[in-house]
Order: sequence, then structure tokens, then C-alpha cells
Amino acid sequence: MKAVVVNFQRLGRARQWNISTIVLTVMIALTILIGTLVNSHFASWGNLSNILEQAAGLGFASIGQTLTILTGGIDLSIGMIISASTVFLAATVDGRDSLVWPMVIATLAMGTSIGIINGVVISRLKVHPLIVTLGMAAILEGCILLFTLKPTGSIPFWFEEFAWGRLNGIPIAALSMFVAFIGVALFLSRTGLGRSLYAYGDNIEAARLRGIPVNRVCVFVYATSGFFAALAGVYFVSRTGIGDPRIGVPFTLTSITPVIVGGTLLSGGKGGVIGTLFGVLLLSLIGNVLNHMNVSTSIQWVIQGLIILAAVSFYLRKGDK
Amino acid sequence: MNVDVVAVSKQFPGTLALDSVSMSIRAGEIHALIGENGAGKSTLIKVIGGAITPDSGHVSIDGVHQNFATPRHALKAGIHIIHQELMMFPQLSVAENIFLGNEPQLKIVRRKQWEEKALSLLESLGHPVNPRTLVENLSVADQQMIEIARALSQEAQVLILDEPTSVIAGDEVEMLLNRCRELRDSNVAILYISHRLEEIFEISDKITVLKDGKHVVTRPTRELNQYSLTELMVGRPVKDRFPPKREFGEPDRVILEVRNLVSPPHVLDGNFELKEGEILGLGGLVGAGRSELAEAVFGARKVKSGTVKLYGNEVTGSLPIEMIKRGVGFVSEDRQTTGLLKLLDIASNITVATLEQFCKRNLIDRHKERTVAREEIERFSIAAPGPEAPVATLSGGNQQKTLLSRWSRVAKLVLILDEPTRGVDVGAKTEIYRIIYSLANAGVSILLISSEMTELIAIADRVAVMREGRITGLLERDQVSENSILRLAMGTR
Amino acid sequence: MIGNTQGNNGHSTAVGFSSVLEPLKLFSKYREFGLVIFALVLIVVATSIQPRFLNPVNVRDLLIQAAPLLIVTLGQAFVILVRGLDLSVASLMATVAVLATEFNAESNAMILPIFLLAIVFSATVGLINGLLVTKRSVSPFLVTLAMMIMLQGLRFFITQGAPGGSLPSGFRVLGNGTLIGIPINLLVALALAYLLYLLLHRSKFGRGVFIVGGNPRSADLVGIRSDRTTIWCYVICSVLAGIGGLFLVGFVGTVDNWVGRGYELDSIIAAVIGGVVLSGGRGSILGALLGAFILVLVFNVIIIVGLPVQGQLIVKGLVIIGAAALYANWVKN
Repeated sequence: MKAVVVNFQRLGRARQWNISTIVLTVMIALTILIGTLVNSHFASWGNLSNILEQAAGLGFASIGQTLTILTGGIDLSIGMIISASTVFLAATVDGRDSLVWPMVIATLAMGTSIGIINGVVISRLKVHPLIVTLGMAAILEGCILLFTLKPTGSIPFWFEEFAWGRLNGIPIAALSMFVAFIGVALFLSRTGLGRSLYAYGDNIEAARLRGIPVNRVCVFVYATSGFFAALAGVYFVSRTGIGDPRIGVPFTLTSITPVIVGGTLLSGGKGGVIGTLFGVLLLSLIGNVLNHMNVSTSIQWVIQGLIILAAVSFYLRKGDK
Repeated sequence: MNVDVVAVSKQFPGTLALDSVSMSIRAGEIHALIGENGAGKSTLIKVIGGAITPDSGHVSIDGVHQNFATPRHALKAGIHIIHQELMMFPQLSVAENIFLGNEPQLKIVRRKQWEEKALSLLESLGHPVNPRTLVENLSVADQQMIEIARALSQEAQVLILDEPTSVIAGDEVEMLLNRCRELRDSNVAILYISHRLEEIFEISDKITVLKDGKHVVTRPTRELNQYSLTELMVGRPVKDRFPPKREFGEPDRVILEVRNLVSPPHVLDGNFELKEGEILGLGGLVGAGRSELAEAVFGARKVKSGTVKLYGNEVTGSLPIEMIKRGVGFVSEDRQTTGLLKLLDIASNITVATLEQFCKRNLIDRHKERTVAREEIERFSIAAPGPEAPVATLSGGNQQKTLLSRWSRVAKLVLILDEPTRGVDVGAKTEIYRIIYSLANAGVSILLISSEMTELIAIADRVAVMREGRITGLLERDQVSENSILRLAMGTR
Repeated sequence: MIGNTQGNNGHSTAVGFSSVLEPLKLFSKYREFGLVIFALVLIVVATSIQPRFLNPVNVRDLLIQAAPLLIVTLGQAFVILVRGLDLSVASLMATVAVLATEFNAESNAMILPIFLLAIVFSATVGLINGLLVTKRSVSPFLVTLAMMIMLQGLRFFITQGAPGGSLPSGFRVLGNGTLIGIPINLLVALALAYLLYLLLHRSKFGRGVFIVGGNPRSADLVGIRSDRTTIWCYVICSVLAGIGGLFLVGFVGTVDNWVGRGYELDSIIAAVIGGVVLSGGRGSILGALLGAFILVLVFNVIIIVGLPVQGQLIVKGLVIIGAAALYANWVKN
């Protein structure tokens, strides 16, 4: 096994393309094959493009989660940032055309600011990210529910284009998701800050001694996570046309699954967003196949748990020397 | 650039690591800093490099008062440090380990350029390594060379090297020393820390000696010789350091027998016999696999093949708990992470390996535990307020004595001591030697691992030497000498 | 240049600062004492705002509500002490509750068998958690997260979405009744706490728990079977969650698929408030009890002084970050 890994490294290129990517590609191909056996229309462009379109929300959320996990942390406030963003955006726009773009920007700024607060508390007060983001999630949930208990607000019809629109038959949402993934992947592999993020997750004490401003890196990571969570929120508003205080709840945990499946280690320092993208695609496809097979939600939950355990076991075994 | 350290003090729980230390490092000069383990050298350079904030005193650069808040500030000022504990990013490439740092930017990383520069740097040090390899796949020596390359790649005004040669040898050391001389000639200030005295005399212009956190003396190198230097480090004539060699007849009863023990990757062929009441030294270079061999014998490391016999019974592959029950004790090398239970008090630390003796109907008898701990504190003259004092607040020597107390209660047959006097002040060292002797005289067989050659020669009855995972020789009492140990440790060329 | 005007001030400020911290250090040494004071302050403040707070009915309600969380927090503390985390407790509570109703038992004689079954089921869950954490070295976060989802799936699979069974009437008494004025469930919680106190603070096993959590690398070297100790902690946590789930059902009176929702986070928060440190090896049974009690107290105070229920969430968030920050900086000093 090890020899193979070394060979791939010798091939060079970005290290995010390694054996796990190939395994994931095979898994995706297998899932599509099984899907086709279940339902002959599964592999049609219509169905696949729908899956891609629906994956965008999970995709955006898990980009941010990948960064926090890469630095050895975690962001459990993602779900509530999504909820807060949808409620904020839909309620403030409330059907008015002119307010859409300013409020989209304001929403993204709000998500980023919440992330900044997370990052500052984590790096300055030295509290574990799990506790800080958990606390933040509770605070946000309280604020949202104080504001509204029911779905609220509305948006102009044209704004639904972001989540539903097609460009030459390609879903705009999926396109933006791919652009975001590729942009972040390039950032991670090609910039000093991106590489510092790996250094931070790998050995924070060494990073500090090397003069990497560890506190700033930490704030940057959680700010980015907050930004992408807000972007996911914008997507959901565009998709559902409304601000729903509960829409983000499942995403706190489901945003972690594709990261783990994509080969980013929970201990930090190893992995990347390309793996996460594959994870998002694989999980979305599996979900769709299971729906086609009329598998009940309860069984799907069990399968999700098994996938997490299987993925972690797979990467652990690979890490054994 | 000149660096002045002015009256710097730093207190750690239980130890005054630096006690009002002052010294200056001048541009165009190689200044050696020496002292025994635990003398405060590493703390001092961490203060200079901004990694530790001193409790009092300050550092000034060219006469300007500075106390660097973080390593980043010190790096910006041109101070670069090669730390003793390798500070690497194991999951990043060699090139990234060399060039990543300081200001991370959104600027594009020129990977190719980094890799080419990294390779040429490493080649110029005579140690080419593929710059794309992940550091986790490299040996300690490779990693050390990468650290050195990293420090040299920066335009350092002040270069501090903390034990850069502890894991490299031969040509690479020469190459490093030459580079240091070149840098000195281009007016860089160098602070060089090493425990290899020959190196110090070969390269330095000035020597500063630290002992127990205090500045002892700073003198030009030419005014000193190895003998006088050792005396300054130790603080007393060398001959008084060790208790007189004990009388010891030739025992014949083998207690512990290790044959062809293999535990990859560090132990490839472990062989020795430990006889009743003897002190067997185990020498070798850092990284030769001595600690790992001891761990494999004790059951703390997986054994692939070979045998361990205790009193003729095979015990290969036992768990530590089983070895403890059979009367084997193991004082590990790293007191801080694998020895002490730092969150617990002295009493719990002493009794932990023999806790059954204190249990009544499954509950611990705290009273009995404390009573025994109080006796032990007395017996080993541990300077502590009482059995309930947190062990973290003790000084290095007293922590070590606490561990010796714990394990001597276990070790009815065999006691393995891995670097028992590391990071311990001179007074405590002498006491520890006395404890070792009294245990051996009481019939306990002792395996003493030590990197201090003089210690092995003075204390051990026989010395086995290890090199690259294999026992390369056994020196009988009359054969033991610095030369004979070194020859086996390095492998004769 | 940085700090070139500081002169000797650096020294004196350092001394001044640490002498300010001195009383705090003492405080942290008697952390439980601090928690008691904090709880008393809360009670005084609440009573002065709303005298109804000390009304016997409110006090009894508060204690009855506190008991299930107390039980679950005690278990969570064991897992956190060995550097773990159990996110599956709430899901387990609900699953145990749902399983119990599947019998549709009428007779109170079935209470004991139901408890035994719940304990066996929970212990199995804990064993799986523990085995995955130790033998496969999967991070506790992921193991228990996966377990949480899988139990949820199992539960919905059994009930097909809507639990319909019933429990013997005795459960209501256990969860809601009082004995000489003291809530029965609180008595049970305190009895369990005493047993766990003996286990954690007085027995050889408990010593091992502290060592595995505080010095994982030395545990095996001093003859502690660290894997076994860790697994036991997960089993203890799950069993307590199962018992807590049954008491909660007894208190609520009806079973739905989400009994105990939020208890995973509340129990972690309570443990952290009580001084059980997430990095392991530090904490106490008394602290965990007080932490859970304080959390319930805070919730109750919010309601009784007339703040909106949502305020609970905000306060919960602030309290956990605040408590963790406070402890993190104490430990450092």
C-alpha cells in the first residue's frame, strides 16, 4: 500500500489528488451503476443535474467545515449560521427587488462576522473550538427563535434563479459550487496562507515558532467557514423562497460527513476540499439511489452512520505504517 | 547585530529555570553555550527567540530594549533558531518545511522554485533529500538537516543552534561547522549549543557556562580546556561527581536474558544478559534504539521475534502490567510525558504501580497510601511539603526520585533505568547514583541506559553498546572506556 | 520598537498581576466550593427578582427536572475524563424509552425487567462506542456521532415514525413522585452519584480513569489497562444515559421519538461548567453534579423571571463559552 502512495507522490501534482480520490471516483461510478440498475433513468442528465443542483447547499457548508477540520478544529455553528442567514435574508428583503443584492452582501458579511467571533474566542481565550462553536450555535438559535418561530419573509421570483436556474443546461447552483471548490482548492495548495493552514493543523507549536501568525490563521479559517455557511443560507433562500429557522439544523452534522468521507483527518493537517467535493457528490448520489429504492429515512440514517465509521476506518488503515 | 540578555529570570512550576542570567552575543562571533541537561540553555534561547516571556529581565538588540511577544517578532528582527526538539510539519513536504513561515500571504507559492531552492540548499550541506518527500517519511537525521537548511535559507542576523549535531555525524557535522564559520565571517552572530565538547573547542570564540539556571562564567575559548570546562559545568572536581566504584564479584546467575529481539523499526537485534545484582550499562548514540529495546523488553512495544526470559521463563510479548507483577520496573526516559502522572499528587505517583497493596475491598486505603508515601519521601529524601503535594511542583531531581521510589517498590528482580539523571541537578545526580548502588547491592539487577559516557564508565559494572538497532558489543569491566564505547557506538570505519 | 519604554516595569507588573490572581488560584483549588457559591448567588438573585422562585412547588419542580440531567451528566463526566465525548446519549435515551414502550406492559412488575433490558441494551451501545474508540482508534466525536444517527434510525425503524406503546403506571411515580417530600428521581440520582463517587474517587479503577485521561502515554507503562478502562467509561456513560432516559420518560409521561433531545449537549455543558475538563484527567463527581444543577437552575431562573424561553439557549451558549474560557485560563496559570 505504501509503495503505491509514494508513487503517486512522485507523480507530483497537487497532493490533494491521491489514492483516496481514485477510490472515491470508483465508488461514485459504482453508485451510478447501481442507480442505473434500480432505475433506468438514474444516469440521465436530467436526474444527475438535479442531484448536482441539490448538492450545492451541502457543498458550500462542507467547504467551510473542511477548513476548520484541516486545522484540527470543528465548526458546530454552521447549521445555525445557515438558519440565521436564511431568516435574515428573506425577512429583510421581504419581496423587495432593490434590497436583494445589498442584503445578500449583508448576509455574507454577517456569516463572516459570526465566524470571526468564533475564531477570536478560540485563538485568544484558548477555548476548544467544539465548545466555542457549540455555544455560538446555542446563542444563534436563541436569537433566531426570538425573532421568529415560523418560516418567514420572501424574495423576488427572479432570485430563485440562483438555485433553480440553468446555464446551457448546467445548473447555476452546481456551477457555483464547483467554482467555489476549485477556488478554495487552488487557494489551499498554491498560497502561503493556504499552506500555513496545513502547517497549523499539523503542528501548531511548530507553526508558532516559525513565525506563522497562528491567531490570525485561526480567525481566517472560522471566518471562511462562516462565510460559506452564509452562502449556503443564500442558496436555501433562493431555493425555498423563504427564511426557515430550522433549515440549517441537520447541516451542522451532515457538513462533517463529506469531509470525513473525502479523507480529511479529524486530527488536522491532512486532506483538502477536492476530497470533500467527491464526498459531497458520493453522498448525494447515494441518497438519491436510496430514495429511488424507496429505502425509509430511518434506514438511511443507519447507513449514514455506517458510512462515517467505514470512511474513518478506511483512512485509519491507510495511515497505519 | 548584538544581542544582550540582561538579568533574565524564568520560573516554572517547581524549578527556577533561569535565575537572573545575563550574557551577550556579538556579531561576527561564535558563542558557545554549555551546561548540563536542565541547566536552562533551552529556556534561555526560547526567551531570546520570543517563545517564552521571562518573568523579569529583558533582551536588547543593539542596545535597544526588546522583549519579543511572539516568535514572529523575533524572526522579523532577524533572530533564527534551530530548536532542539525538532519542530517540523510531518505531513508537509521537505520544501514546504524549509520555506513555509513568517508571513503567510495570498501570494502564489512557486512550488517548483521552492523545490529547486530546497534541493540546492540541502546539496550544499552535503545531504540531498527529495524536496517533495513528506517529512514524516524521513529519518531524524534528515529532519535535522532540513531544520539546518531552513535556518540557513533565511538571512539571519543572529543564528541560534540548539544541539544541532545530536543526531548527525561525520561529514555533515564538518559541513555544518564550516557553514557556521562562513556566516561568522559575514558578521552573523551565532550562539551554538552542544554537549560535544570537541566541537565547542573546534568552533567557538567564546564560551558561556550555565548551571542550575545560573550564569557561571563567560570566557574566551582559548583560556579553557575540556577538563576545566567540565569542572565549571559540574561545579565540583570531576572525580567527586561519582561515588567510588563499588566492589562487585562475578555473578553467575542470569536474571534477564534477551536474545535476538526484533521490534521494527528501531530494534533490529537486541541481545544481552543481565545477572543478579549487576548494573549493566547500555550505551550508544541518540537514536540507536536503546530506549526502544528497553520498552520492547518491558512489553511496552510490540515484539516481532526473539525471546525475553526472566529467571529462565519465557516472558516475550508480556504486557507492562504482567512485567510489573513479575517484579520488573521501568523508569522511562521522558519523565514529563511517560513517567510522571502530572495531575496527581506525590502519594498517588509513588503507589500507582503497586496499588493492590493499598486496596481494601476494592477501595483504596488513602490513609495507608499517605503513610507509605511519607516513609518513601523520607527514604529517598524527596524535598516536598508532603505526600499530597502535586508532583508537578517538584524540581526535576525530586520528580526523578519520586519515580525511583515508585519503581523500586515494584522492582524486586529487575529495574530498567532510561537516562535516570537527565535534567537533574548535580546534587540530585549523586543521590540517584547512591540509590542505584544500594538497590544493586540489595540484589536488584539494573539495566542503566545513559548517553553520558562518564556516567556509564563510573557506574556500570559492564557496558553493552547499541548501534542502529543492534547490540554491537559487550564490554567487560576492564574493557570499558570512552574510546571502546564510542568505537562500538559509531561502528569502526 | 516594541516595549522599549517598559524598563523595569515589566517585572513589577508581572508580580502585581500574579498577586491579583492569587485568590483565583485558591478558588480553582476548591472549584466545587466556587460552584456552590455561584449557585447560591444565582438563587439569591433569582429570589430577589421573583420571590416565587423559592416557592416549594417551584423548588420541587426544579429538582425533579434536574434529576435526569444529573444522571446523564455523571456518565458524560466519565467519558470526558478519558479524553472522550459522547454525542449519542440523547439518541440513546430516546431509543431506550421507545424500546421500553414496545412491550406495552401494564403491570408494575414489569418495571424491573424493563430497567434491566434498558441497561443491557445501553451497555451494548457503550461497549461498541468504547471498542471503536480504543481498538480502532476512531475519534470519540465521530464514533458517537455515527452512533447517534444509527440509534435514531433504529428507533424510527422500530416505531415506524410514531411510537404508540405505553409504560406501566409506576414509571410516572418514579419520574414524578416524591418520597417524604423529596423527588424519587433525585434520590435515585444522588444514590447513583454516591456509588460513582466511590468508583471514581476511591477505587483503583477510578485512579486509572484519571491516569488514562491525564497521562495516556504513561497509563500502560504503570500497569493500567488503558483500553479496558476507557471502554468501561463508555459503558458507564451509556448505561447512565439509558437509566436517565427511563426517568425522563417517567417525568414527561409520554414517549415520542425525541425524548431527551438536547441532552447530549446539555450534559457536556453541565460537565464543563462543573469543572470536568475536555482535555481529560481533571474533574469530579461533585463538580459534575453541581454543574448539572447550575444549568437547570439557570434554565429555571430564566423562565421564572419571565424571560422568553429562547433566552435559555442564549444564556446556555454564553455560559458554556464563559465557563470553558475561565477554566482554560485557570489551568494555564
